[in-house]
Amino acid sequence: MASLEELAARTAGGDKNAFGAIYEALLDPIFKYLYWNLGSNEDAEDLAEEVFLRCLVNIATYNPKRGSFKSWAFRIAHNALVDYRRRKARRPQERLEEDMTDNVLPAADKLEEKETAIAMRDALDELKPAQRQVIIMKFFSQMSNAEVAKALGRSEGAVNAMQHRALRRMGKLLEERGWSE
Amino acid sequence: MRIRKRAAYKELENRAIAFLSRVESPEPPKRVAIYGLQRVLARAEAGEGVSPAKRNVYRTPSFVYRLALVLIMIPLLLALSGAGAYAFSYNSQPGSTLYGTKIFFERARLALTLSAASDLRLEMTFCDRRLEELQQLAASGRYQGAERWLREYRRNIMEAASLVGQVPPQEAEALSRQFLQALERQSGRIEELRRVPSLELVPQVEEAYRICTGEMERERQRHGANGGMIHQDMEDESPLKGGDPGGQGKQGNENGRHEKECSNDGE
Repeated sequence: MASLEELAARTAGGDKNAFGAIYEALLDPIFKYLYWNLGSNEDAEDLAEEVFLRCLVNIATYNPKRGSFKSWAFRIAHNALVDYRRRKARRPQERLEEDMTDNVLPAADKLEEKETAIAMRDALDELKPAQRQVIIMKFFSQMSNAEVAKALGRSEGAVNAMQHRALRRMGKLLEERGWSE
Repeated sequence: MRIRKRAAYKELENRAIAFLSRVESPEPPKRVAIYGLQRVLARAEAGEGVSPAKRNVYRTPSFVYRLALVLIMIPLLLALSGAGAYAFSYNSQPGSTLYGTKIFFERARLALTLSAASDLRLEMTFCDRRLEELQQLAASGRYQGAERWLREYRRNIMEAASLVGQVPPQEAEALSRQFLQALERQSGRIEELRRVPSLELVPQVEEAYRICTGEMERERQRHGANGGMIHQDMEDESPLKGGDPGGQGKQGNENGRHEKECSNDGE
């Protein structure tokens, strides 16, 4: 299977199928990243589409020497998120709880999972913005430290430190709220 | 203590990781997976999202790029500001804020010349420039910078006079003559100003006249003292006589004196 970088080069050459493969590979991590940042399924869908559109339009400017394609795409996602937040100053938590109840976890027997997700959201809200990005990218979008560092424009060491601090803070919060069991 | 603290941190981290692994993330809806790609391709074909394409996604330029930009911009800005200051100050008059800049650039030009002859030519040009400034001062009726003007004029004259003795012998005669002519011309111009009855620049004009004529007299005396030699040189330079151009006669005299000294030593 071709790497994302090869697929990007083919897409830049006009191969739509290559972009289809990129879309398939990155939709899940990008959607999750956006979802945990926005707390809304619909917003995450809309913004994911915007992110892929930006990726497609800008794909000729991607330079493999500057990092992996995944980190480049996440950089676009991060910028799109910043732009979106600037446009709509919205409270994500309210939308998340609404979504968690209505759309994402439809069955009532998944009450525990729903509560876990809400606790996760609360814990994420307690973190600093940069720490939150690191946790979401690492644990929900399955990215390596190097990829996270490139996507956020930080050094790998800084990302590692942020991750440790964020995990400690989360562990403490979960303990305080009785969610760690 | 430290180990215990580290262990506590590790436990907190493990607890958070365990919790994170339990969290179920929502999958993207099926319709997004199926139709999302088509929508993206359609929007791209319609030309949407083109404006962000012009924007660099890596918004922070690299360090090398920024450093190169700074290294290019600093000399460029210095050159531009220097050229601007030179252009603005070129026609400034004594008493104006840019007059000092004008004098600074004159001195900079002098510092950049490589020979005493070029320095002398420049000093003569600056002396003429000072005279133009004096005439403009007199015409405008603003005498604020008269003292500064006088200082600069005196300095130009003195520098030029000292440079006459430093130029190479082959150029000395011609330049000395040019300097004398310049002084004569300048004394004439100052003389005209002295005749203006209502002029309030009287002390400065009188002092300038004194400096100019004093130096002119010294030059005349110098020419007079070396008159025989100079005339001899001029005759030698004449192609009809087939003499040595470039004041070699003077060198010949000096060589003769040197020979005489050597012979005296020998005695």
